[in-house]
Amino acid sequence: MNETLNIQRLFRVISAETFAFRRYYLFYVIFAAAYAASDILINRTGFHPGVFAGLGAFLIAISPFMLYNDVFHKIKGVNYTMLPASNLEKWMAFWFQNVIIVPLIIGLLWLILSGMEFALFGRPIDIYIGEEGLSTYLIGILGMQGVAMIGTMSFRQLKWLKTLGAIFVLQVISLIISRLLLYQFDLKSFIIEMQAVNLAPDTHGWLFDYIKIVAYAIFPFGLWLVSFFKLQEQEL
Amino acid sequence: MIAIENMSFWYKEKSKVFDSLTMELEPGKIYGLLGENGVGKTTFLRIMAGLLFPKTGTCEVMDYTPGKRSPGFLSKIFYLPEEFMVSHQKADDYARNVGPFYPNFEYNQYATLMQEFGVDGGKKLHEMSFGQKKKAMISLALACNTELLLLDEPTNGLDIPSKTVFRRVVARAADENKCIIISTHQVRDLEFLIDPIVILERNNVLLNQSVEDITRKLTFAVVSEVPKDALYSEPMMGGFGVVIPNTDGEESKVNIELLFNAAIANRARFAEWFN
Repeated sequence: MNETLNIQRLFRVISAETFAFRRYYLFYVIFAAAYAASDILINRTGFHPGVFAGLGAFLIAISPFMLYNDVFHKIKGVNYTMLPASNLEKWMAFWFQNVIIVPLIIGLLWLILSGMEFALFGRPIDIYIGEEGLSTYLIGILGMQGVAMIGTMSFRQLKWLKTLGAIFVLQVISLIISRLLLYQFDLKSFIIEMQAVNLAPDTHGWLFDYIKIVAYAIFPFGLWLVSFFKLQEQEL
Repeated sequence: MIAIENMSFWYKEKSKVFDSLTMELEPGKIYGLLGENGVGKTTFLRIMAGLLFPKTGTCEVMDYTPGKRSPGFLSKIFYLPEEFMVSHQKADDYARNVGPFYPNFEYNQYATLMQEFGVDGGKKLHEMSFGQKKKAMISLALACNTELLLLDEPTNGLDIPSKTVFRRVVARAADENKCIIISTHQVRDLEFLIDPIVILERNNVLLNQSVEDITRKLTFAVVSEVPKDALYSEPMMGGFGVVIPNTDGEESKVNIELLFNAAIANRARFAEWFN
């Protein structure tokens, strides 16, 4: 028996989970329908799919909390943890549900709304943020979702609240550390340097590229990796 | 099958649940796991299931480390907790979805067990009463035919006829390759089913003996007057139920409730006699 990854077993976990989550997926559909109905009743000018895309992005970002909230609950989480599949398979199914299925459903609903808007009001489908902006936007959503994935796999209860608390604490710590570090150096010239970067990003393209690469490596890939390790060490 | 060596476990380090616990459990037996409230019976089962990890020492189950939760291990074990969450699916659909994860699962066996318990598999699990849910889950647990079956208070919530069915189906499921561990307070429900008997005390195991070994050393009787050497006595119909040292070599029928109370009242003597 392959103890790490068996495609048939992985498929079985994904299909069992998809079946178990069908109510959540139905909720997304109802949410989209309710949004479209309320929007057309209030505005009478169309569905405004762009606004729906924003709400959809929020739903994608918080999907780990919604779908896997009870995963390490002392009682509710037993079936999940005792399911004969490897930690990697369970994590891959977790990843697949959040990173593939949920965005696909939201994206599909957005397309349907946009198509309906085109059919009913003649407004063409428009990705307002442009192609390059879209990839940054998607990475940003997945980054936020990655934080939620770590929170889901790290905390047994009150996952979203504890995740927000952890983010706040980390921000305070990083703020203190960065201020301490700045005072070690010549603060004034550093600020001028940063302003120069802001004003003329082209001249510091390498710096932006570097920050981008590091940010993309952490958000979401690094977060996904950490969530896998957290899954392994969780007790209930 | 299960080898525990110097295992310690605690939720708070100052009050250890287990302290250097060492014991072995063998296949082909139905263990009865007894103990007072809070001694760690459920914790013990959860460690063996890989839901909790020992803080120190080792716990090996079928040569696996449970905490690693490998699929090979998980497919050979079924843990049915006292309280459990059920799916929103129909019982039969749930069995069809979960069963294939267990290589020895037999749907026909599951269906027969459901019939014996009188549970309608076409009904949604979350709409069933607690007792019905329990019977459905016991049917699934037995039909998975795992080598290790951990049942935490399985008779809680079962009606009297279902307890009889439970004893029958568990006795039928037992074979020389399987190890069944049943944690219970309802000792009378399982009196003729469990052997050996394991009594847990705070931090350690007070008793882990077969019924035969117990009756070789102890006599259980109902007498009109309590003998001086009685380890434990309590009034009951027809006189006093007593536990006394077996001096004449004759074997008596174990009364688990008396045994448990005698063990709790004579911890040191039991430890000396049986370990």
